[in-house]
Amino acid sequence: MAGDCDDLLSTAFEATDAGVCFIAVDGRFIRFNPAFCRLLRRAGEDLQGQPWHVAMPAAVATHHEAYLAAIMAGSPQESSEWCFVREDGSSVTVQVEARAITSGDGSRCAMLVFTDIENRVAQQRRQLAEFERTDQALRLSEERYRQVIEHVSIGIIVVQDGRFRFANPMALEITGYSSEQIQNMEFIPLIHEADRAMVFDRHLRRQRGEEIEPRYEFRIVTPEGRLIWVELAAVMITWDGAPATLSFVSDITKRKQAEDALRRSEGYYRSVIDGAPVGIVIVRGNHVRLGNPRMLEMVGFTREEMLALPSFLDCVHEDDRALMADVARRHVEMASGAEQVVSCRLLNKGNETIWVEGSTVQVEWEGLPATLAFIHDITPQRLLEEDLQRALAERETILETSVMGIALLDAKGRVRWANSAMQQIFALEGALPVGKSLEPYYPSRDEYLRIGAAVSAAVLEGRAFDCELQMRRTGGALLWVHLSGRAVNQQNLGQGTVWVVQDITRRKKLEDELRTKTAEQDAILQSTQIGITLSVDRHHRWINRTFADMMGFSTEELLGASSRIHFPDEAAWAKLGEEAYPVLELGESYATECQMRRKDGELFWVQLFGTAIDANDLARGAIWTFVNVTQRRQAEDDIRRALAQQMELSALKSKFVAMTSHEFRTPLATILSSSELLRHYSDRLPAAEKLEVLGSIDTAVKRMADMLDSILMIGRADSGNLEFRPVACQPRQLCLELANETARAVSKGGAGLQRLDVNFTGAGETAMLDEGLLRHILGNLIGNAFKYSHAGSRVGLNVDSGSSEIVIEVSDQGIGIPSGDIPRLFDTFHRAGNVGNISGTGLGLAIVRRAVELHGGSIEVDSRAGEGSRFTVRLPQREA
Amino acid sequence: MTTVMIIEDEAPIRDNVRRFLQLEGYVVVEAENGQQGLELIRACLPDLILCDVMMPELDGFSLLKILRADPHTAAVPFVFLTASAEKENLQLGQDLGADEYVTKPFNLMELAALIRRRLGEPR
Repeated sequence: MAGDCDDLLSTAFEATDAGVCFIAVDGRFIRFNPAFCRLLRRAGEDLQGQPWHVAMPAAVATHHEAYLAAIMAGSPQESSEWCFVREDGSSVTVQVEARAITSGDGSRCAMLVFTDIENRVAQQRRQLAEFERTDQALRLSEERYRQVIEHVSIGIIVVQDGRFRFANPMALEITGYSSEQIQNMEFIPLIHEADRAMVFDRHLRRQRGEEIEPRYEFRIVTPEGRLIWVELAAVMITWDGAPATLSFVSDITKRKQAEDALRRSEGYYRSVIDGAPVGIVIVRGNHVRLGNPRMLEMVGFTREEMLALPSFLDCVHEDDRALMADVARRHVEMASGAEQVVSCRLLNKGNETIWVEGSTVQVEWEGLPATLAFIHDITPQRLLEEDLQRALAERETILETSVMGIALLDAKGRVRWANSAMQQIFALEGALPVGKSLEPYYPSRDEYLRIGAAVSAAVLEGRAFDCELQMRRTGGALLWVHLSGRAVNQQNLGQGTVWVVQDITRRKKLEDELRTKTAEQDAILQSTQIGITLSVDRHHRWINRTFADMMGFSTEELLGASSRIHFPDEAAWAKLGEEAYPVLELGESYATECQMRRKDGELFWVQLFGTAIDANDLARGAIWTFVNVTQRRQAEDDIRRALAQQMELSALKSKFVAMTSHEFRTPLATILSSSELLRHYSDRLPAAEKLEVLGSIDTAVKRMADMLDSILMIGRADSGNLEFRPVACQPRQLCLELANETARAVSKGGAGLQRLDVNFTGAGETAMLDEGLLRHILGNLIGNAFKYSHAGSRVGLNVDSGSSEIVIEVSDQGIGIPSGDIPRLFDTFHRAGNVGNISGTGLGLAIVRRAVELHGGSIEVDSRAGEGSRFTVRLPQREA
Repeated sequence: MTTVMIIEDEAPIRDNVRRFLQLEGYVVVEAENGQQGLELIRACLPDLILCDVMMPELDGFSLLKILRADPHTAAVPFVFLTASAEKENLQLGQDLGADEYVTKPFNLMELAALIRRRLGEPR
């Protein structure tokens, strides 16, 4: 036997593809096979007795020395990759596996097996092909198939006609029966009593071909009476030509046990109980043994307080204690797991009633029977229910006591139910008769039929019917009602209609009164002379005719229009709004007078009043009244103007008095002082001086006379009594005479050393002029030119005598006239602001203007303050 | 010699007053407006001033204000000769420190007495 074996090993050693060598403790080859020589491409003679690392580079060999030493020492090493360098210089990478061997004589050596990695892929492919061939053969062979089945770690059984036909070794191991015992044994007795029905049921259903979950769990009993949990997956097959069940069975006892252990785990329970949203309580012998947090929260006790209660009934409402005691009693009589549904009131720590609902079940707790209760707090629902009940009761009351009549009619319009208000509305002695139609309460049959038709139409269309109509009371009196009806069920008109009847007689009457009153008020508002508008957000909502007429619009044009159109401009409109609305907001009336504009653009004055309808809510609008006060304003303006004129006149008079006083006193002073000189100093005055003094009297008197002339002339002119007496004259001659006369008079008065340049143009030889008036014109203009000029400046007189007009121009280089004084320059007594102390009466230019006007001519002035003035007089001449 | 100054724009009045004062034995200095008057007063410092109110260049009130503000001229007696009989003007003259206010037309004899009184001369 041993020799056979040695031969076999020897053959294998010589034939294998792996290179194998044996190395002695001293590192020399003991033996090697041909594959090893092939690997190194060396002859066996070359290697025999040589150190084992001849084929390796020194650096690698050192490392491999250590490897080999480890092997020799008996320390197993993992296979590793080495690289050999052959004699011809090529290299080969091999995988090496090594093992120490003790040979028969007790000496140790190492066996190294080298596999050519480079050839491994090809080798594997070869192996695969071989395996496939083997596999093919295996499949073909039922024997080999059976071997597989027999070695799998799952139990496989075939059951036919309720008996075992096949069970693999694993199945035998699970069931605990021997293959002989199980052969043809009935399947059902194997199953635990409790699961038999279920398994049998499935078995039948599977046979009927029903689709059932193929995998299920049940318990079996071993011959030793042990309970084993199995999981079974079954399919129908054909076995020996007949239908059978092929089942795969696994032993899940351990899993089940683990699950049970978990289920029993305190922690697991605790987490469920503590987190449960229902109150959980366990009562044993009237004592509370456990209460979860929700339960404690419900009754308001701490865990300790709860557990210390003498009896669980202490937290049950006294009215329900008997009931709960009964429940507890019944549990004692009932089997474990039996359940009772309870609904009762609990009392919390504050003695408030809590409505609860739940179930109780008999359990085993710490080895003794106890009652487990799951409790829901249904107090909110209870309260809600009570509220609902109350609300329902109230609604009932509302329906009954409502001031609105409510009636339910059947499909044919007969009364099925009516509330008491109906009875009052129709003045019935009793309730509205049930089963009768409402026809008697209509004014006529026609009306009843008409309304009935309208109602039917509305109801059929699914609409509510709604109208106001007259009906009749039992006494015959008519009343107004508001009637609305709708089908009880839109889908089923057969269920009738519900009617709400409201007595609106009073409202109707008020409406009528209001309508009459409104008409009256409208008539008043329309016929008043005051324009009235109701405006909201400055837009007309309502206006009366007077307002429309006042503004020149039609009523239609104005409704909805902005009030902006009545104002002269945007700014005026905006300003009024800014002023008025803050006042209206205070609840006060706003009053003003302002100019408004008619549609045709005409401006007129109105007195305006505004009041908010509701000061707290300006959006409700404001009432505005408008009175045309143009005439009154005009009258006022006239009066104001007249008054101003009067005052001006008065001021002028004062000015005149002051002026005349001054202007008369000056020459009077000359006259008086002259006469006194002559009287007292006559003897001591030289003759020439006496003459001069006398002359000054003449001049002063003449000055006074001239002044009086001027005043009288203005008076005559103002009263229209100044005469115009033109005569034919030579204008050139006349102007020259008058100019010289004036210049003389001026220089005599002591003023001015100015030069007068006179210049004549034009061909007019004769003209019609009033010499007296012309003297005033030239005298005043030239006199002023001298008076208001500086010494040595030039005064010019240009006369252009044409056939149609004579143009006289007087110019100077004097103080000029401020532009503000020019418009009133020719007014009586007016003197420019820059005259200073230069004396004057303010009459000269007034006289000039009148004299020019009497000639039918015109006068213009062109002047600038500080630069001089030019007066231009045009006197028209009529041909022949 | 006592110097009296006459400031008056109306030449006939100025001439008559000059004649009268000369005949009364005063040295007379003439000016035809306030400005001219102010210059002459500063030049010769008269013993008394007769002055019109309404004049071109510088009026009587303004002139008086200047004189009274200047210590050199503040004490010179100052007499207004005016054509205005308005009470306001009289008051204004007094407020400014005028010594006398003579309304035109005036009596030369009375004026002579007034001047003498102001100059502290015997009658």
